[in-house]
Amino acid sequence: MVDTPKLYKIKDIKRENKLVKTYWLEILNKTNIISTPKPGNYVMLWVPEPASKKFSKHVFDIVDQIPMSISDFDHGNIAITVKNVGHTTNELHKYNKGRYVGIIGPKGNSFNLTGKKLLVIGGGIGIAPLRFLVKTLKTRKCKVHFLAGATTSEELILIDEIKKYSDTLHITTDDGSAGVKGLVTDMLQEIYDDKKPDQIFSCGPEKMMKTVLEFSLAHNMPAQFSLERFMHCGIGVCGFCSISDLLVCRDGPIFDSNTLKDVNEFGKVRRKASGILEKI
Amino acid sequence: MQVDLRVKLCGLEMQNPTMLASGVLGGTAGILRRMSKSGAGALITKSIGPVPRDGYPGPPIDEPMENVLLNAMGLPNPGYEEFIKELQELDDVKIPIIPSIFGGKPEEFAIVAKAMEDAGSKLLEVNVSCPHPEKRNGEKELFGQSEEATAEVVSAIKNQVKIPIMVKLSPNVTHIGKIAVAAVDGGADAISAINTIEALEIQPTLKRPVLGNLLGGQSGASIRPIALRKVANIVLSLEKAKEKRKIDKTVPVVGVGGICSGEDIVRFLLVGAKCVQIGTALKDDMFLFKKCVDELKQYMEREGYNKISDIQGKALEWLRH
Repeated sequence: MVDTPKLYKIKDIKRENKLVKTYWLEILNKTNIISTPKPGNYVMLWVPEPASKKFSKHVFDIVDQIPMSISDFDHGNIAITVKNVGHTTNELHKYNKGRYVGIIGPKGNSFNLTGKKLLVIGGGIGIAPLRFLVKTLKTRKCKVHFLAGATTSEELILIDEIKKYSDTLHITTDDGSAGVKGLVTDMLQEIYDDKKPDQIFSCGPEKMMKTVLEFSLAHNMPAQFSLERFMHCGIGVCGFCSISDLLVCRDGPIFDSNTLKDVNEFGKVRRKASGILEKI
Repeated sequence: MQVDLRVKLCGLEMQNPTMLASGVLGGTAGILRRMSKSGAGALITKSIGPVPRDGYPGPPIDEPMENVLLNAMGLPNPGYEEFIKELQELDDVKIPIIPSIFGGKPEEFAIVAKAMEDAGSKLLEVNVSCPHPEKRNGEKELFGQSEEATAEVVSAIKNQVKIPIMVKLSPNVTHIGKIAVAAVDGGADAISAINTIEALEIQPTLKRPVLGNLLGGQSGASIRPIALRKVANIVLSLEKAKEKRKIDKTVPVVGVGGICSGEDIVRFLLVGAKCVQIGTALKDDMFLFKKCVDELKQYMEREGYNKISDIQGKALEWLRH
């Protein structure tokens, strides 16, 4: 399998909120054989031209290739749920149905689907890959308890779907505009005492995941986390997506609590595009 | 019969003749530490320059077909001041770590080189495959595409540092042998070759190049025969230049380009390389160093060689005339 972008057409666009859209992507050349994505996999998304299709010297500030979690998969089509946070995602948000993007993937490792009573903890846009996870878990014999948090009710995404696939759903917002007021991690002890989970899955702001990790270690409970870092090559050769001695693109993006407990940088620092470390 | 795989390059002891090539898994302390256990004899870092650089927009890498990798990373790096802090975390690593350096002008190369020397580096690789600030004949060029520019960079560095320097040459030239001679004349203590070959891939439906920076450099197994030819040319050109007293000594030549096996290492040794570097092939197998060195050992046992220098240059008699 060679690492070269394959063209996908935007089949459908669903606006989740002011800043977030889900794109359903259909591969152009159906003779291409792509492996079936597993929850936790990501793609390298190439936004190849400005929305206006006009070439100018500013093009180089806009078009780029960025990693994106797979947020759903259906009949060969891939869904990505993208928040508008910078130049490239801003340009993608101007793309209409029928436009082409480049996709390399599915890439990376995946969540290990194990456990009978699962606690799934998602923060903000981190809920995106967890949607694919709980949809997949629905086909297995297990109980799913979902803890969804955001800064405010508008930032909560995919809640209707999560509700469909979870046995219980618990919502928190920092400002109290939906669910319980507070951080999602404030509810950990209560849910743990009530549901007695045997596995945790989490994705969201790294400080949130760090708190979840410490909780899981304190309670001797296995946990898996979906991480992100700035990526250049996405194929495990440049080394810029590293967290301590691990490569998020190649060893991850899913890392378990056993691995992360020894990773100094987790929750503390990340690298910028130049490789310079900055505080999270 | 005991096979001795050790090689000494510019005073540095290596347990085997393989080095991690610059640009692959060598940009952070964590990754360098991990690679120090990979079986390589030495590690060459990501190319480090005078100031932080973000690199080019993506896709920075494309693999148009098997054994062909194109890259236009754009020399992303944290700048030498930050990177030296990473290097200082690695004082306990047992194998040599060789910083690769570059600059936008000869003075910048010298500043970075001096800082690396002050930080304790014992050998530097000088990346001259970066753009020269001035155009020649109306065209943008790399330092390594001109004998004068290469010599200027080398002299500027040698005026500032006492440690040896290995100059990594670009293959995008007509006479790589002449560039090598110019580098050695300017004071280079070793030559490594080759860097990537200028290349391009076009996306037919989008009607544009695939790489974010449009043009890129090709690496991988597909370039091995080109690299081999260039290395042979450099070794023989240095020999001839010494005979004609253009330079007063030849220097070791380190081969790089498409190596994925023990036999590939042997190929480069046979055309006169002292040791080799491996980069792109690690994409598919991070444990490749151990595998290649085992294969090299098996070759030496089979052929009855007990040291690396026994192999060096044995194919050159066919190419000398």
